[in-house]
Amino acid sequence: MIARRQFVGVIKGVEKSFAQGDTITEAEADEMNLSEKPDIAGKENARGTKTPKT
Amino acid sequence: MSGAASSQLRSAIVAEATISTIPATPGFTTLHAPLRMVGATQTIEGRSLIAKGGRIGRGVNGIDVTGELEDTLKYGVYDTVMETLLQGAWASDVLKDGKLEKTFANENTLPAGVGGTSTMMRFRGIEALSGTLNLAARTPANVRFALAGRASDDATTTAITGATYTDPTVVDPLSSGADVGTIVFNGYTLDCMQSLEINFAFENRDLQPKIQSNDLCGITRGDFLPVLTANMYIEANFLAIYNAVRARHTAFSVTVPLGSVTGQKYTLVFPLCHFATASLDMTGAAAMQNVIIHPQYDTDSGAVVTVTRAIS
Repeated sequence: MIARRQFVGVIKGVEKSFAQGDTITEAEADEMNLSEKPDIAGKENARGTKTPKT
Repeated sequence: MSGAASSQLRSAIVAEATISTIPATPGFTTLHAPLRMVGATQTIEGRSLIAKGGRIGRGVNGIDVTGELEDTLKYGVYDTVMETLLQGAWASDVLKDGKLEKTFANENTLPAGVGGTSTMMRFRGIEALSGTLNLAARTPANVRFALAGRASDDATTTAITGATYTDPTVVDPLSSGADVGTIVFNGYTLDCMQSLEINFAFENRDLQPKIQSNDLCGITRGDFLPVLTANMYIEANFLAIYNAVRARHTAFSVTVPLGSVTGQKYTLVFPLCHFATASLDMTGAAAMQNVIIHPQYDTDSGAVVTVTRAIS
């Protein structure tokens, strides 16, 4: 996933900052339940660029 | 280690789907202004003859969760709080007052000293019991909410798993000048307005304490009785309002447009209003007409007030 905007997430009990355009791992996305938060992250960023495959 | 500064506070809210329950993996929105929540312990102070009448022993009757929020109005930032105030839900960008139980949770995070461990104070089941929107010439549009919550938690250094914190996108405060559109009292031509206060007042919106818990059972829905107070300069049109107050008069609507950015505007409509008073004030340099308006329930819209957002 790609961060659509800047946000802070709690990963394994620790806060981690994400900038707009940052890549978010699947594990991180699952932990933050980002599939339910499309305003802050998605498969595409705000400009429509798709998540690079890792 | 220096002590923490008040500006190091992160004040965040999230709407609750289940009342008094912080959602799993909550998506918090941080606020520009602090949500000043307090969990005030109601203590039982033991007094005893064995202490010769002095203090001995202590108990806890309950914990009252109250607070306030005061800030300049910024588009979209306080929409969740407005839902709880008006007891309604935004539907297609329209919010009407109702009797729903809408609540949000608050997490206030403060470092334990500069560079210290983040410590979280959490409050649940919060709603705005009353609020005001103040428009006054040469000042920002100001909002103020009196808050109460149903429950609070012990302070902790343990973050909520999977929580996210997002800053509000809108940062510009609305002014009471160019950011206020044409205010209309339908059927009346208005003289220049120096200020308008909208008091979203309720009666009987009371806390419901219960036994077996420090928390509340709930909060009574109360009766929505808003009051609009307009201060207007004395010009060509003050007579019509002055005389209308003196007799039965036809109900009129009041429309207050807010915002000047396309897609980031509100309109508040009180569809059915009557004047309560319209006294003249000659104590200052300018003679003023102080107009008090009492909005009523409108059966057509099924509400006392209708707020529309995202207006182009």
